[in-house]
Amino acid sequence: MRPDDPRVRAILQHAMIARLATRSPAGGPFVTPIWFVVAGDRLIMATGAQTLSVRNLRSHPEAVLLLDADRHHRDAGMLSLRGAATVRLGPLSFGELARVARKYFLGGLRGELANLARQKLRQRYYAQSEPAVIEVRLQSAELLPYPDAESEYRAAGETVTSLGRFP
Amino acid sequence: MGRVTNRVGVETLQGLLGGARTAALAYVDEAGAVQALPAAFRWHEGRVRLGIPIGIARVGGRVAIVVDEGWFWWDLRAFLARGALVPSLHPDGAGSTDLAWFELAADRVTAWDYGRLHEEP
Repeated sequence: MRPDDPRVRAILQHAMIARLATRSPAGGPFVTPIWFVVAGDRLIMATGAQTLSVRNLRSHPEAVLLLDADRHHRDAGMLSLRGAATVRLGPLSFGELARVARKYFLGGLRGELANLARQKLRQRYYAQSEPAVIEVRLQSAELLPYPDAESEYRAAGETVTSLGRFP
Repeated sequence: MGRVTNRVGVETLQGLLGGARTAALAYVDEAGAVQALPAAFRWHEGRVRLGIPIGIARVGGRVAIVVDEGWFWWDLRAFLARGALVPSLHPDGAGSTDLAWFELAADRVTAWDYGRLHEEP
């Protein structure tokens, strides 16, 4: 990732959900929301080994991720990130897990506390599938406008803006 | 013990779908590369209409979409659909000049909600 690109860095710092787009071996598209953390020039995502995203990426390791440019205002458009994905079987590393815990568990502490009685159910949910980690090394970024003409963002005259390509 | 799942019926996400105006849309271009962009989204009586910048989508082309809400583990819920694009009128009546509108003829639909994590009987 280009650390000298402050718009990308700012969005990555604040975005909570990525929509991960992949293609199947037969050439069909798929997109799903996924939690992520940033590690240098990579995005790290934990998932299951048998998920459609993992199966797709193992045959076609090209990933596109859409992040809300402003997590409080969807009309602000989306950041599109393209990168090369690798899949590794197994759980997150300790460092990755710490990032996830800080971002999602501490950040969502109220929800965690409200669902304390359901933690075992969640553990059982995860125990049902083999863990896998998707790692996307970012190659390019683009800011895409909200597509609806009624949007203030669009009305303000924003257009697709290339933020350049990562080396 | 039954299987633990976050799958829910689409009807449980009516509130999300009725209020959503944007979907994340993915398609595969003629060169075989996966592409993704935000699309205008309208949900009406179980039908999905999508507004896509003109020149990007083609009739009959396959797309996948997702509409999601929530950031944290117990909050995140989503509607996913895949299917083919069928031409449609602008759902709000007045036509916009820079979007082509399609109805999604969905052949695969999934809805899930981590807040409704449950054990199947």
